[in-house]
Amino acid sequence: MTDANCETRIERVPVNLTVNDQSRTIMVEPRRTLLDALREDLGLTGTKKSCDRGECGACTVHIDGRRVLSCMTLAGMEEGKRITTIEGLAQNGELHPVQAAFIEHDGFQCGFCTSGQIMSAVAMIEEAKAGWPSAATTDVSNPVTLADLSKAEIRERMSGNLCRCACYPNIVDAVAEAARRS
Amino acid sequence: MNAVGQPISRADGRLKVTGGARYTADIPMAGAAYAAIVHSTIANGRTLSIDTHAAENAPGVLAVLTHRNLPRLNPPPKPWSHLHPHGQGYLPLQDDKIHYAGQPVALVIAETLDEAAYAGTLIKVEYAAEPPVVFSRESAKEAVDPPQFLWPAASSVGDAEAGIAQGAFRIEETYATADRHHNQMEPHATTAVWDEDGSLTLYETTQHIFGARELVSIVLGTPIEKINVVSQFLGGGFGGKAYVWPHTLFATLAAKVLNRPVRVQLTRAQMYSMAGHQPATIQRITLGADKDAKLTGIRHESISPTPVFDSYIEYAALASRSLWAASGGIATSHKVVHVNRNTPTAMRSPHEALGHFALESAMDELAYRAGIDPVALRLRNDTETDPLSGRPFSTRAMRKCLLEGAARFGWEKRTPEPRSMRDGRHLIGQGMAAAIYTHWRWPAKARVTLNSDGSALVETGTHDLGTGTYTVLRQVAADALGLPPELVTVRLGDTRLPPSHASIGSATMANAGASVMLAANAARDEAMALAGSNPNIGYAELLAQSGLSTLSAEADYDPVPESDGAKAVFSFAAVFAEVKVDPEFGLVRLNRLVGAYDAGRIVNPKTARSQAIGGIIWGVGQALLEQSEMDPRTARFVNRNYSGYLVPTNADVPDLDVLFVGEFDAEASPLGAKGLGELTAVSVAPAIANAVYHATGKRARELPITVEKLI
Repeated sequence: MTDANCETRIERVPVNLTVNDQSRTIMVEPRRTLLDALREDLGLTGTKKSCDRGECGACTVHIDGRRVLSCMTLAGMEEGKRITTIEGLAQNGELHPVQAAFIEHDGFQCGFCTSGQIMSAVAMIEEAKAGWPSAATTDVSNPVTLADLSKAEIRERMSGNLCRCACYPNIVDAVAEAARRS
Repeated sequence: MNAVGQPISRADGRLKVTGGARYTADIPMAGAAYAAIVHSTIANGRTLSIDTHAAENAPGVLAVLTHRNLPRLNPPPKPWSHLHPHGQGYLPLQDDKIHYAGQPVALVIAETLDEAAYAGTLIKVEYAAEPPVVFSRESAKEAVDPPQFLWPAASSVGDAEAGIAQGAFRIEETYATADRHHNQMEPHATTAVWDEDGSLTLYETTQHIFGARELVSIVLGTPIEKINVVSQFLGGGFGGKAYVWPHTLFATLAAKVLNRPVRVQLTRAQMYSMAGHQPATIQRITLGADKDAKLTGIRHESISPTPVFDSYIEYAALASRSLWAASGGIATSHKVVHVNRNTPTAMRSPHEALGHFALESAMDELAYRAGIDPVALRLRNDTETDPLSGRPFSTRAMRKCLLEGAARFGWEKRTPEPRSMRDGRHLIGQGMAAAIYTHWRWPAKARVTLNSDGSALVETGTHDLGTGTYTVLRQVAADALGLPPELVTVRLGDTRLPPSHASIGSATMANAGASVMLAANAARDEAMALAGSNPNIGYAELLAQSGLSTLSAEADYDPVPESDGAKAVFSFAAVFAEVKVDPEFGLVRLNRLVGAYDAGRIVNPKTARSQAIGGIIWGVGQALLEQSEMDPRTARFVNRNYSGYLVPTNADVPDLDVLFVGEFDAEASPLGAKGLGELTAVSVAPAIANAVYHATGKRARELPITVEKLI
């Protein structure tokens, strides 16, 4: 881009999103990531910016029920999509079973990766219910079931979410219990 | 029932699982502008010109600040002190000099983060570059004696040389540890807000609100009473957020220049040059031992890099001063090499975790040389007296750590011969190491208030790094007041609260915790005095009856004079590791780890266990993965992200077992607690390295133990 071009402000475009069951319209530059749109434009700061390049999982949200790294997603690409963030997980003040299990099993310390861990775990349990295999799945000839979620399976499926306090064993215990209860 | 000692879930748990906990960059700030930092691409030299024209005219840009127009700062005070803890002594953007790669050369402030970051890319810098000096085995030959920093740089008890010479066995080896970065999940962030009356509020990612306030006051020349620092939730600190780094000062100045709030959050890559790191070390260890494998002498020398402008010492040889007895003597020393990099800093677990790798690896080498079991070797060299000071230890459950840890691990089933244990085609190795950790003492104040509804409020200017401070302080106050913990609220992380110390050195429980216990005791005593002949009256009723809306008491705990007391206070550990090594590819995987800890009384076994597993995994990273790679030609750290700098992931971590074997230590703290968090990251690396030797017969003397070192 030349200096002359950059003196023009980049035009903002409207994006319609359903965020945590609420319809929202935001005006964003095309370069706005979904992560920055959630945090800066919608004030939903539960979703965290840690690496901002798809390596750590702290910014994980759900788009139409699938876990997605919001730092690697432009807000403008998600027109009309249903977004769920950590703020939208509890229903009527009642914690989601994964949230409750994280408290019970002390699945966090500083808590900065926790939103991403929990959003990842909720979707991960749904993936297992849907029969999806992982790299740790030993038998891929039959669909995976919740009963197949061994510690090795959970460790593998949760390895996209880094935790520098390293609460990993507790996260595994929390996810295992939530999976059992779901 | 007492709350202390119970595995109570975190007080801030619900906030953290719902996204409700507000970390520094989450705090809403109307009208905030965003700062982006532009870095030097050279590591040594100076800037000839900085063309900011295009950036200044880019959309949304409010200001571009360089050394030419940034207001001058006062230099950070010398000598360095925990009371005004600057991260580095040299402040960038004050002159045209470049001392390290990634040094800030410009600051862009714009309406949005994207606008600031984009405008930063338009700045053109011309340099006069000089060849940089980097740390290496070659440059280590130029090491010099540094001025004293935290402890004397050298120590000598008895005659180590003569002791070593008398020994029947002699181990003399060089060990090395890698440059590492904290890589907290939460990047460093600052939001600076000046009010019309000249007062400053800093929302800051800090483990040391009062230290940050002091340093900012000195460097900016702002009266301390005009500054408030807030840090209520921290996304990991690990030492790296205990000191004030340049971006904090820049954001604060920029906010003053622009007369509006300014927010800066470091990018992941910027965390490799804008804040500190753990420096590499090259350590030479010499052990002498008699025919019974009792140590006759220890010599431990460590060399580490420091910038051209600072003398940071990584006290790796500290480990050897107090861990084992050596009949002849113990000598330690530290030297530094001045190179082109930013200032290293404390990183979990500074000093000890590096030095123990060398010392406890050498002890394993001695065990094999002398033909004695590694646990038996430690038992034989255990000591009830601190070799450095000659003082008896207050409590030292090393024996319990070794024996109970070994029993839990099943150490007796180990066959000592290297390559003697297998699982199919894989080699199995079992190794162990012991640890000692410094007990830090700092003054702390706290206030406890009884409310008219029968609840209580704890207020103290400490921090919760994820360590569980909100939870454990509640437990401590609840017991002192005779209340259920749910009725106690804890406020911390704000300099308007009673001053406390830095949350570093695993010191919060023993020091800040003690101040809360004493304040709660005082509040209870005042209430009891009011109650007179009716001691069973509830607080709510008592306050109503006395016509009081609240009742407050403060405590001022100062344990610093006790540092020179009759007893030496340390924490202790023994770590046992089992590895599985692929004999063809040299890949090390962990099967299991057991840690046994003497950290005095454990206030909350649940949060303590979490800290312990976190510490073990921190040590796993040190042992097998973590290494900040520096390009020797450009003096840049090149792997400035989580793809290049590997930290342990969930799939890397096996089953971990944690034992607490300590007892109430009255010399350590009125709470009986000693330091835990950092202790647990010590001696994981040598336990794994020793297990790798047992598996393969290859001695890894350089961390991390990556595949190329084993094939």
